[in-house]
Amino acid sequence: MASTEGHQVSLEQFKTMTELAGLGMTPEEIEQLKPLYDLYARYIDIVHSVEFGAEEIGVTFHPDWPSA
Amino acid sequence: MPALDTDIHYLTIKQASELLRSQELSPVELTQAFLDRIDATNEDLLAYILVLKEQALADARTAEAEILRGDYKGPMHGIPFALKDLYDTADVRTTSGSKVDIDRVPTEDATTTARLKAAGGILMGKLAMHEFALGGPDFTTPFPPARNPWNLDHVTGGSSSGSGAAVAAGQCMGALGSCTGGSIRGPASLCGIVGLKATYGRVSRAGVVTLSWSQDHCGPMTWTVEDTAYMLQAIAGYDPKDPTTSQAAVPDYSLSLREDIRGLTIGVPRHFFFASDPSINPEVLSTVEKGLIVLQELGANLEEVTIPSLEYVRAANTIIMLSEAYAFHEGNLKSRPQDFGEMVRDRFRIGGLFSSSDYVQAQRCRNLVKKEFAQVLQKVDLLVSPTMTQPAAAFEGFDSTGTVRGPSFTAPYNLTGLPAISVPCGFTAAGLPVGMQIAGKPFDEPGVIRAAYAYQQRARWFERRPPI
Repeated sequence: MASTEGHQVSLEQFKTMTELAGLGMTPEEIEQLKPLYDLYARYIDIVHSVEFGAEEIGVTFHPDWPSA
Repeated sequence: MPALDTDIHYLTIKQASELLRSQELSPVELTQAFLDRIDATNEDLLAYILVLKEQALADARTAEAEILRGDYKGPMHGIPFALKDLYDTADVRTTSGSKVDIDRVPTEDATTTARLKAAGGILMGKLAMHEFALGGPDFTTPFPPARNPWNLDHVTGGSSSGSGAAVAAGQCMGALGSCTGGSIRGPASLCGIVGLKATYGRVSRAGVVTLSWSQDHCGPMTWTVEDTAYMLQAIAGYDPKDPTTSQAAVPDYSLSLREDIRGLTIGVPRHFFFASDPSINPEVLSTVEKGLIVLQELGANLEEVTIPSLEYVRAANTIIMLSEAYAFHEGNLKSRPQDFGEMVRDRFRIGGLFSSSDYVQAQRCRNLVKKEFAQVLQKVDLLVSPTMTQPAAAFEGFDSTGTVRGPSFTAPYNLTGLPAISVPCGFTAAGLPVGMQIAGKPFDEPGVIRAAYAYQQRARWFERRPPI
């Protein structure tokens, strides 16, 4: 599986992220969630590792898509 | 009633429907046999969280009267089925396995619920599931996790955990599961049953609590491929309540139940699904390799294919899933976080931390994956792989983050919306089931069913039942 490790944030940055999202978490909850977030952060790096240029998002889904 | 060569609760839908139609078996007798089976096994399995005994018997009496007067509706008439507890059921509690919805009583049936009832099915009850269709077994939710009938110390897989356990143990003849990253095929594989996720748009999602609108699928879980075809027939088709359903005509899936796959070309993306990776169990791979040989013996041509973007699938599937889930659950997550189980609460919160750029980039990756699958499926008819990277794990020492680290073999078909089925293809040395995944072109459920049926009829793993 593709793997990168660029999207790491500090605990302080992570605390700010949760506050901006309005998650209302306690300091203990934030500290406990951080390692799990670090695992998921790999995914952020992976989707941003693809260079799409100016290619638009297009129709993201259509039930009857038949071809490329 | 004639002597049967098997326990009633282990009849298939096909077998039971023939007996019901010929009036050799009564829907009331059949329903009672399943209620007895649930009574005898559910304390160990924990597959049902609600058994609708009185309602089921009343519905069975109605079915009996209909059949006796010659009003036979088809293969689902009088057949006991059950629902993952996120399918809305009118006047019956629907919890999504969460304290958040512990008192939620819908006023209407989900479209799929209503269609199975209209086909004459007997709703036996509501089934355990991973909370809001996400994560793994979580002991901090109101309902304890369902257990695997092949070994009660092992998980069922999820999130349609109760559906997998109930069908495998003969507690119902068929169940509906839902699937956003593999929640139908996963438990089907780990419980040794058949599970089908049809093409996105083939089966209505109306009245089914969402995890991720753009990746959720509803579908049947049964003991045989034949039974899956019957259930799919009852639920497939356009639904004005679900704007993503297709208006394409629904074919007769029973026409696909033939044992001939000569001439089909089956693609095998070995670089991803058979990779040398510590997160992929070698026993699973060797078991599926044997399944590939059977397909070849049946006349299919195997061709190795490459789909480079598969390496982005887990990331894109997860970011889209958690972002959409957060959008749906945000209010409750902020106002009553204590009512979520720990596992789901943590993951939904992470969904709130992805940026709009992350979500859009994941969707662009999704388009890339769809394009590459479409290109490959112009050269081959079907794609075959293991369904899961591992057999059912033990509860003891279960690592809930394990799925984050390794590849997902099921998520490619949620991301692309392509139809995919899991069919049992053998057992590990420890006696745990292994599933083989067969996927096809958009709306080619007939092709997927045909290959799975031909394989199952030859391999005959359905003759082996769990020891419970």
